[in-house]
Amino acid sequence: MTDKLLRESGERLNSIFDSMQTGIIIIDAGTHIIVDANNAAVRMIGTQRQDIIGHTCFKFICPMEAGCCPIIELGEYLEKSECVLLRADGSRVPVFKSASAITLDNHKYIIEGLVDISERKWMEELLIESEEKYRVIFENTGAATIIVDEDRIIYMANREFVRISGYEREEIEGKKNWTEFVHSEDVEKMRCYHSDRRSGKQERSVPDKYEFRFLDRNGMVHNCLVTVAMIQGTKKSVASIVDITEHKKTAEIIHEKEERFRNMIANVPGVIFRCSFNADRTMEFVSNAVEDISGYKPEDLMCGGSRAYTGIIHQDDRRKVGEVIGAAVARRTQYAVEYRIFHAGGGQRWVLEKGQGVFSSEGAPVFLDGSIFDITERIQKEDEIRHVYRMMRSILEKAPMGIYTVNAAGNIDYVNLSMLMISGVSREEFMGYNVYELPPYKRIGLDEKIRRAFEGESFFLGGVEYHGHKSEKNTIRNFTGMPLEEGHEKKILVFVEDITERSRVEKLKDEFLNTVSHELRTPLAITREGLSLIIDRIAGDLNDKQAHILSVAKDNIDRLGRIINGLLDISKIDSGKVELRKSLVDMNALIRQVAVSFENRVKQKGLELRLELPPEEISIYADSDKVIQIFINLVGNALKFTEKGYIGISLQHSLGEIICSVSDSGAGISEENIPKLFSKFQQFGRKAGGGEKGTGLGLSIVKSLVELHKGAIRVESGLGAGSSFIFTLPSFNSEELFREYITNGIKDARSRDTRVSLIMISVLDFEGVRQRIPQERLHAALRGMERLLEESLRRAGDVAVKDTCEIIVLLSDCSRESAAAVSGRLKETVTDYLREEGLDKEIKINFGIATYPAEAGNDEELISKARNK
Amino acid sequence: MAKSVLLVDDEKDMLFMLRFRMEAAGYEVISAEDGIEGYACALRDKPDIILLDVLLPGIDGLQLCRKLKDNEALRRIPVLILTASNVKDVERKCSEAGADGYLKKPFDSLELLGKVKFLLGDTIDQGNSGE
Repeated sequence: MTDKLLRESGERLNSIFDSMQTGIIIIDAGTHIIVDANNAAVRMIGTQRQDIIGHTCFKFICPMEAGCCPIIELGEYLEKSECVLLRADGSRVPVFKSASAITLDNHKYIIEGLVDISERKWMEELLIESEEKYRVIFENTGAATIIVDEDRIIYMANREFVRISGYEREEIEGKKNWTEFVHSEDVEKMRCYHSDRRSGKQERSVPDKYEFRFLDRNGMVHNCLVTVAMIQGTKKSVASIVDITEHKKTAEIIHEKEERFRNMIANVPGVIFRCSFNADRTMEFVSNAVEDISGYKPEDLMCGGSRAYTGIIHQDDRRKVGEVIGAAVARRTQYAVEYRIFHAGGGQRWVLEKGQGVFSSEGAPVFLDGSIFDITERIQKEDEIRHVYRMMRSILEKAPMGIYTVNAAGNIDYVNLSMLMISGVSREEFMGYNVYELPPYKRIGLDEKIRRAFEGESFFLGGVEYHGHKSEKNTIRNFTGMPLEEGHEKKILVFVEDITERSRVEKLKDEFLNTVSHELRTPLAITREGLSLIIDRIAGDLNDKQAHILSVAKDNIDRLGRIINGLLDISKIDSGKVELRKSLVDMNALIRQVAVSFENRVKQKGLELRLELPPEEISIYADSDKVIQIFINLVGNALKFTEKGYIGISLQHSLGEIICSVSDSGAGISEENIPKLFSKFQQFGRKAGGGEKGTGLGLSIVKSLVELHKGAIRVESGLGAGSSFIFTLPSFNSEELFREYITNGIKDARSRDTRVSLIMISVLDFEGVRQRIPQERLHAALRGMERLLEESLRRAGDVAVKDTCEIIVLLSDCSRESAAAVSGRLKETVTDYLREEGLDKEIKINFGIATYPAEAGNDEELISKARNK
Repeated sequence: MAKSVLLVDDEKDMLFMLRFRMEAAGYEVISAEDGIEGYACALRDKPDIILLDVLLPGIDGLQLCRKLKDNEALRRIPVLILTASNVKDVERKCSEAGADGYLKKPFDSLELLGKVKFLLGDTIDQGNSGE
């Protein structure tokens, strides 16, 4: 049973042994003789089984020499090693050989398993060959290409990839993850693509071609375009990468330029267009701005639109536009034309169109390219300017005064009509004048005045007898000139007044007044003298009644005399013939003086004279005679109209002015009469008056005198409520006073073409002196000094004005030498005075002198010169 | 002996009144109606004082005054100018012409007499001597 079983099992094993596709050879390990081989092995060796069994394995199936069996001698274990099987015919077959030693029935055998791999090997070679082919292609695609695995490792990279990556091939293939070559901002997106592409789910959403930022070894960013494809049947993908950085840059520039151009077109205030060169001017292209200008959209004006561009041009301008464009196209030049268009929303716009023709290769005009600008505002402004200009021009032309301008060369560059009328010459002749060469100008020194006006000195030449040049009229003229900045060019603007007639009339008036006053006064004087002779009883006796009648007659003769004088006064003031002789006036003292002169008359009428004067001294710079006249007239008036009560005079100091008032408790003035109060020959309430009869000129004269001093007068009154006449006169602070005083002195000297010297007497270290000497004593000393100076300077025109620490003495028409002499004399006087007062040690005085015009040209220079000497 | 006054005025009525007044005041009165006659009278009669009107036919009062003052023989005779004229600087013109004083017409008789007496250097009593 056992044998049978054994046999059966042995047979079964044999059968399996033989049917196996793996060649199996059993070798005696001691002798190296092949003891068995199955069918597969026999087939592989290519001979009969019996030729195999009994053969030693060396040099038969194994290329090794005897004694070199790797299994037995070297004790190795072979598994699936690739070996070469020697076939019976001597050929060699590549095989996988597994070899192992086994012990069977205490005997050692080697079992070799052989698998023919010759076919696989061939395939493999084929494969390698094709891979090489592909590799060549792969290497030479031009694009950087990689094959990546599912695990994102780069399996293969071509030369170009290696180049752009900056790594060695060995560093990349099988080692680098592709994500290392991607900009961090692009990685996430690309990772998604990577896995989505492999999952196949969202294949459509995964782009085959897209841009990403490639990072090379140095961290440089390359803008790249990648094309990715899966290798079919694998999880590998091929990615071709093209560096488009340069391309991208160019594209960006182009894009930017385009954008810029677009923006430009959108932002230019005008319309950019290309239109067909036809009657309608159909727009091929027109920028959106056309809507702003015309109210039409670009498409309205383009082919198939609702409007022809020509159609929106004002019908009166169409012809002009057509002609201008036609002419420019014919000459192949640019054109510019201004015209009106109708706005879709109503109204007109002025536009400026500039453009040029575009010609076909045959030279025929095809298009017009150009721009259209809205110039409505400009046209309006131009109109306004033109209007203003015309108006100014006509104002200038029609001004009742001659006006002309002189340029730096002395030529006339503008002259108005009035000037030509004054001269009596033609415009051409006048425009040909050169002010520096004109003899009559030289004669009156006008050439020099104009020359100096270019240095900024305005001038006035009044009442000049102008002897006409050639055919010019002889005239009496006022010339006023001033520099005029016109752009960068300096010019002199000259105003000329022809006062020939006025002077003649004025002269006539003066003559007339003189004659009249003479003619009136003479009989008046005779009559008065006659009456006086009788009243004085020189012509015989007279009863009281007769004497009284004649007295009344004589009083009225006197009144007539006053009227004549008043008229002459007013006429003089009105014609500017009264010149104020200003000096420093102590107003308190002046008012007291006026009060004294009225004292008796006020007492006679049983009235009270009230004075309200400030405790401190108020000095103003005025013509004291005129100020006294103002007070006398006002107080005289008050006296006339006041029967009981009082007459008050008050003085107040206010900011920059003094306020004087003369008030009374008299009849007052009705409201309707107040406005007429200061007119000539106005007399109200005659009945209320007593004593001396008025002339009706007093208040008119008062007003003129106040205004001559740049003051103002008003009245507060009501019928039965008394009256207050309040007038102001400008007061100056000492510095202003100084200046005003000196300025006037210089003005006076200039007008009389003479000189004036200034002596400035100042207390040295006034602050220190003020601290050392009690105020009372110092004040008294300064007053004393001032009085002394005034006494020493009795000559007319020499006046002393005092400031807190400075006294100035203006010597008109006095040379520097004489001024020095006067100064020396004053110094002695002052020094003696201070010595007498025992102050010569405490107060040191400095005397400075300056003379106009020798040393100084104006007030400021004169003061500073005098102060520093 | 009474002092003599030369009156030069082209107004006969004025001369009449002045003559009346001056004679009443005790002066001897000589009169002339124009400048040339006035000068002749002055030369001939050597009056103690001359009262001159300004506006005169022939040579005017100011010119006459200058002429008188330029004449060594007449220089010391005081000249008082009486004027109805309104010329601005009549005072200055009078003094420039060498006049010793001036009065504006119409004048007060007492003032006139006062001035005359002053210029003659007379005492107050002189005026009454003729009465």
